[in-house]
Amino acid sequence: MRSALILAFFFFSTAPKPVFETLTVSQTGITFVHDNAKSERRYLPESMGPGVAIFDFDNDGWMDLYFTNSGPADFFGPKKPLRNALYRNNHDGKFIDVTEKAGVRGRDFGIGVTTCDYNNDGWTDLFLTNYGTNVLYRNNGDGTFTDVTEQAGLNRPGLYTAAVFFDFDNNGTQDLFVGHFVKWSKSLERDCTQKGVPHYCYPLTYDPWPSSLYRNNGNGTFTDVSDRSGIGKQMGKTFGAVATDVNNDGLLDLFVANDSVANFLFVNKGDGKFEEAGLEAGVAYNSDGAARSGMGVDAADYNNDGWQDLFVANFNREKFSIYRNRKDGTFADDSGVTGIAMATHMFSGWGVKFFDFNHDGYQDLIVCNGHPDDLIETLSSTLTYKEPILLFENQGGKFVKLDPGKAGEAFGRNYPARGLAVGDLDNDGFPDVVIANSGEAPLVLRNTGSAAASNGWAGLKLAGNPTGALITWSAGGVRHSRLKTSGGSYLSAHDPRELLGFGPFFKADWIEVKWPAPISKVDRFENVKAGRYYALRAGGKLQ
Amino acid sequence: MIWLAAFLLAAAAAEHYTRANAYFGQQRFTEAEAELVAALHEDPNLVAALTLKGKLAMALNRFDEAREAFVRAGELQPKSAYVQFLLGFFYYVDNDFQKAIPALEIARQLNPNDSRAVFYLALSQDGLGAADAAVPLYEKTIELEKSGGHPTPDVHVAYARLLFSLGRYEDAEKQVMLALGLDPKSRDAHYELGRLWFEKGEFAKAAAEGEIALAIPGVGTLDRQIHFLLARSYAKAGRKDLADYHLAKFKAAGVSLRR
Repeated sequence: MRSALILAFFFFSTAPKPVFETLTVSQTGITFVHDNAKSERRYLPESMGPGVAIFDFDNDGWMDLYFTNSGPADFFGPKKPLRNALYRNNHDGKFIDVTEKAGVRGRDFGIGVTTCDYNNDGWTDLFLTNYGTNVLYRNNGDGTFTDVTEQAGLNRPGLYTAAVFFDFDNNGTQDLFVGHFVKWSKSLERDCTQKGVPHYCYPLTYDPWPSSLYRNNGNGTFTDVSDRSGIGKQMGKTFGAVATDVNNDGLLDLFVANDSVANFLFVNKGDGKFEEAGLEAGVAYNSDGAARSGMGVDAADYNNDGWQDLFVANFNREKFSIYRNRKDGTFADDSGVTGIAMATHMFSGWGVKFFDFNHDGYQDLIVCNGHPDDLIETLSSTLTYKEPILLFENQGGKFVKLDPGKAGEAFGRNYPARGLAVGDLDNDGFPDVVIANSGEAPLVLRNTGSAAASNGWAGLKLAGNPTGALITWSAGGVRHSRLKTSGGSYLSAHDPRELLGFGPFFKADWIEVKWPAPISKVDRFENVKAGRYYALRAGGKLQ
Repeated sequence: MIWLAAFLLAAAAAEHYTRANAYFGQQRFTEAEAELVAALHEDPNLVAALTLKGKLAMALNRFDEAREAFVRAGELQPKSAYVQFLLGFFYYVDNDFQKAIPALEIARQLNPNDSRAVFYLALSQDGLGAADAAVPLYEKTIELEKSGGHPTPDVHVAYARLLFSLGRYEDAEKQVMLALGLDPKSRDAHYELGRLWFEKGEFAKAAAEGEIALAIPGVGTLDRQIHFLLARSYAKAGRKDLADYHLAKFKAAGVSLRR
């Protein structure tokens, strides 16, 4: 009897699989290793990157990957040539490096990346933020890209971070916000020596600088409307930015996380102008009126009330912010009641994403962390340079941190993480995660589907990737909604498809897509079967 | 003979220390430092002089020097609750909560009735984001202070701030009211009450508490914080004129960064 019990224990009582498993280099084929250009002097841009993008550059229906890397700059001469990396999804779990063939090595000192079909030709393009001049790579549709930065009018140098494509004027073309960090060059670097050793300086020591907004002219060029829109009049230190509609007026607004100065909430007035309303909205400072170090950012309706809420990953001891939309133009910082505040108290957060990892229909949350100062452990016994990734399950509006046993072994380790992108790399309907580490190889986390095994889902690929589209659905009589935001996280771009969780139901009662202006149509579908991706054009059928 | 020499040196060291302590009390730091140098020259292991040296160095913002003095004192008198408390207190002020906790734990074990050690343990755990550990320590501090006959508002305010961070607004309010019961003119407590009213959507009451806090002099809660509360509260209460006034004051107060 006893031996039968032991046998039963070993052979039948296997622990449930964790949510994520870590994929190795031999599994993915991704050999890219970021070079953060770390110097004895500790120049600011060294601590900022890298970013990662999940996107389908060859329209084969499988998500490819793009990683940014550092490169030559006034403070850095690489000993060997450095380049960014584009990996094509080989449909078998492996990725093939096609950077050279595609012509997307990047240039200058690479920081971040975003993706968008800016010219509406059906092929997703790449935009890179740099210390130096940014890069717009137009996708030629044949596996190659062309650098069109100059002809597009996007070649102003600076120290850039977040980039967000969104259609602020609802004319059907994607405009571009480019976040600028502080006023910086090698000659402006500060001396932050402590105990005789140079450290990376806190952003407080640098002067702020405005970010830029470019209107897409629809002919491959952009017009700088920074001043006209009001966005260029605000001096910030931008790290993260997300385009969302905070007041449900059909116009995309922009939430910008700044480091050491107030965050910005640019409310779209609809006449080409934005009003900065961060202070009035309650998202600029903490409740004591202190600016925090906003880095990663995201927007989603985490409490399913139909209004967009905001999230900011801050510096250690500042606690991260989760701003609940009060539906009156203001927000309440619910980091305490949601459990976010204390769970994030000791971390410095970068890449972040609301996503429904278990398909229960509610937005969960992942944040990757890492102290910007690689020498912090010489100054503090409490803080570490590498920090853990945090996975939170949304349990009725409370965010419960999953331990590594449930989340996956990667969540029990520390990383020098920066960029984070979420996407379904293997098209199994479960969102995977890629994290770009500073000075290290990226981390690829495969969603095992174990947490979502008893839940239904459907994927939706909207033609034209229309930011501002509102997807609502009902499963088992429970209504959910998802606004198609743009940007968010940190220096990174997510899979543009939307995964809709049905909870314990294997069909949706209905799915409705409200397309943004200028389309302004509503498509509705009844009894949608779970377990597959659907493509949809405005006015068309689910394919 | 050797015994006599040692006695004389110790006596001389003690005299210098006594004078240093008196100067320190009068905030005559230069003179205090000179006497301490002399005291420690006569007796490098004089723990009282070492702890005073640490306190003086903290007052002069020379934290490396303070650390060295407190650590040495702790090594010489590992069973002194006071010395261990000072060591833990130093680490707490230096934001090194991880190191503060063991020293404060020892101080607490050596003197279980010392509410200060428990209080700084609570603050250290709070600083580490360990709310589950901090909450019972705040409760214990309050209990010890009460049984010792010296309850202070500061503990209630600090505890209330943690409870506020946890979203436990009702519990936070109870602590703030206890603080105000002990000191109706606590600037910090009125400010915290204002923040709580704001969270509850009682904006006029939040503004009223902010105004009370602003009228009370103090160094804990900054004017800038109170102007921020007032600007938000008046804006929500529909008093744009007053909101603008406090917003201007808030902005004029300059940059504040919570780190």
